[in-house]
Amino acid sequence: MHKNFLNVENFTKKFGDFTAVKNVSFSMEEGEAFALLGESGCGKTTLLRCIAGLETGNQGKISLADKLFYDNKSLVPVNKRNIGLVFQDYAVFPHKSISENITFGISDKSKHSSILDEMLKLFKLEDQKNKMPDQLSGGQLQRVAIARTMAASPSLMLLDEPFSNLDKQLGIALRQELKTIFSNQKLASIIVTHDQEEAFAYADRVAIMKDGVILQCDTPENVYLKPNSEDVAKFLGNCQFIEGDANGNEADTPIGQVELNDTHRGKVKILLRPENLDIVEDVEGKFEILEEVFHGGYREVTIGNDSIVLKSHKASFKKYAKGTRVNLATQSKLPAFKA
Amino acid sequence: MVAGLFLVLLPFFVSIRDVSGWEGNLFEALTTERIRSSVYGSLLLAFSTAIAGALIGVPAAYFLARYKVPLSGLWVILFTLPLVMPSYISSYSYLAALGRMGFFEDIFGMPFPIEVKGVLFGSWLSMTMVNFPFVFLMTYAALLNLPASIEESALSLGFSKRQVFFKIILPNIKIPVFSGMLMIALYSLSDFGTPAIMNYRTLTFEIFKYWDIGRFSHSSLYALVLITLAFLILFAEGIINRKSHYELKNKNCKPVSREKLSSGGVTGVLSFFITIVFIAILLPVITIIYWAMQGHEKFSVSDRLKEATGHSLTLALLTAVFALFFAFPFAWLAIREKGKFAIVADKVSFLGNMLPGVVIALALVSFFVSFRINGFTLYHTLAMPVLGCAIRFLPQAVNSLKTSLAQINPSLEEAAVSLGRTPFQAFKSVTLPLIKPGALAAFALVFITTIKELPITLMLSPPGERYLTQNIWDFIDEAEYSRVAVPALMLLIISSLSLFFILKQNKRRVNA
Repeated sequence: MHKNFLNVENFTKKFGDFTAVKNVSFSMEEGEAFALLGESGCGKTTLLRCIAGLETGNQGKISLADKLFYDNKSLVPVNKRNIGLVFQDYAVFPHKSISENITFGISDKSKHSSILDEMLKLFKLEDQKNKMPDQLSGGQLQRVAIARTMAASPSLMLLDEPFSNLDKQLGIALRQELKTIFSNQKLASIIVTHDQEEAFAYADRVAIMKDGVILQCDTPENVYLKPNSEDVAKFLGNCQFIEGDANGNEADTPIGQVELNDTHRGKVKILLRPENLDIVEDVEGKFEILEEVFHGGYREVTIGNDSIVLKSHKASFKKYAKGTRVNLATQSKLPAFKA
Repeated sequence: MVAGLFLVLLPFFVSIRDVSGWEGNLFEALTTERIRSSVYGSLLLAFSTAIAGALIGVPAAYFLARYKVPLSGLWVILFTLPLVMPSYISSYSYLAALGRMGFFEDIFGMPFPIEVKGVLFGSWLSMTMVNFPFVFLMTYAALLNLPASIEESALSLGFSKRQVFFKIILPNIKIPVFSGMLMIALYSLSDFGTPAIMNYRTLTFEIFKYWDIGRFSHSSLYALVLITLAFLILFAEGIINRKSHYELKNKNCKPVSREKLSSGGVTGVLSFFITIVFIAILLPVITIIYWAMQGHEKFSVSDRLKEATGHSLTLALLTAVFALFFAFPFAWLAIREKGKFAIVADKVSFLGNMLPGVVIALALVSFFVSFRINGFTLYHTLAMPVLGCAIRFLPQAVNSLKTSLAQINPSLEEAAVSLGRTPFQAFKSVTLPLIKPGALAAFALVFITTIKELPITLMLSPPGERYLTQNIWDFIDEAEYSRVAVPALMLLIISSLSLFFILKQNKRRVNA
């Protein structure tokens, strides 16, 4: 396996005075599923477009499988990079039939029909092949767009918010399908998304971007359970912090002593996600149930006293009566940041 | 509503009635040398103009939509501007510039090497320069609406910029370009002023000539042929538009970002643009000003001109009120009711577009000359030109109202009703204030276009009343370039005002 398949080194892209991507470095393995996750305007799409060659950088280096795409001396244009691009708005050619769209990028004419059949089958488009794009639904159009890109046998797939125009269920189904197809074909891919669940479910590794910088690049488990900064923790949502006094791998907090996942000393802010907070009923308890909201899959319970208010997500079958006295505890090793 | 339908359909009935009363062999009459040569002249003018319009409009739109051209906003306006130039003023100006004893000959001391009068060239030049904006505007809008991702996809699949242009861009703008060309063909076909001034034999000119000597049935025969040709062109446009698969569903797509041009590229594009603007706008305007200054009267306004201005304003005011009154039910049906009658009414109101002014004027004369109730007749009254112009410009008014009506969500009225208003009160307090801008625009457009309408005012003016357009017409006939210049300049200024409304409406349509 090629260790450093895609390599982005110290890459910067500016639009006039605005720096969209700041000194970014990361690399990908062959066959890896990778996600760029961030809010809109964080530079993730710009980075993707630079890798594709649709935008030119200002500094740094991009290479794929030892072929140099970009540095300050040379630039390979987009049509020579052999990269597959999938867009949010599908970009299926409106004047060509589904078959013509899929075969559009196949250079070897003799392979047209065999690749077409393969793609139609792979993406379940056999019944659509003679139709025009305006006769298809959004989900089908996106399948056509992906089939068209794969038919050209690219060395890397780049997908820009590919599911965001689809219904939620449809998006999830297509996402799972793509993950399987790409992994069967050992085809590396980068997906750009603002949806954390999508990034986690799709990717082997996730890069979290903010203001043009990659904050953390790791497996979904690690970025969620061991965020390297408050920014990353906050971005991934369901975030609440308690203050604590750390001493090695333990800390004293308002809810009692908790275990940390790293060593710290002195004042720290500890990330305590609602799903990690346990409620123990106790008539002598220091806290009180303030509110309880039923969400279906879980109950959100608000617990507090005069100095602190926290939320906990509990299984839906157990009901908590308002006003019940409780104590709080946690089983997990928590991430902490310098206060 | 029914009266409106009746008025719009009247020209068809009258032409058919007049022709059906034809004495002698109708087939022979339809195949005379004179008809054949005027059909040939009309079609030749229509298609040569459409092709030339595309050759100017498409590259201009492409450069402005895809490259960073200095002053791009100004060019878009300049390439829209010729639309407001009345065709007869445009042809007068080319005649006064390049014709015998014209501006060119005055300055260079030798006649312009190409003859403009009596041959295709003069009419073609004038019609091309007035009409190319149709192709330009449609192509420009199509290029801006093409999502960037379509072209980027093709690039990423390994195609070069050139290939992308031919395989992706061109097929996707094909239909708007053809539609624009057909519109140019339609307008050239139905235009009267240009061939009349350039003395080029077309159907419209022949209709007028026969009318002038009182042979209405001959006129009607030519009119029927003309309507048929116009209908065929409209039909072709309908087919082309139905065939399009190009409705891009995604409205929030990103348009292509404009590319930088090399310095040589900038020079090339700008010289192309300047050449067009020179021929289409500067040359006519300079010529008219030149002749206005040559004249004995200079810029002074004669009593005769003052009187004509007054008449023109009255006519325009009445027509605008009348057209708006008839346009409203059409627009309402088209936007709010979806029934078959609504569809038919929408199509019929559009027919005014294909009815040339000469045909409408002819039909009204032919109909009202014998139409009396208790000895009372509309013939030779102000009602004639008002009716004629109202029929002709009804589509403009309907379109303008439709655009603003389409933007009013019916739930606004429903909200008002749910808050306790009666439907009529809801209409008055919610809908009416909201369509006021559209109604005013419609009013202004009809007002301005009526002032510059030539054949209808020429053929339907009540005895003794003279309009601005007639001042121009009479002197062109006498080849007195300098006496035409002042009224021409006035009309040009009034016409330019309509650009304001056209641009505003275009903008609204893009945003809608």
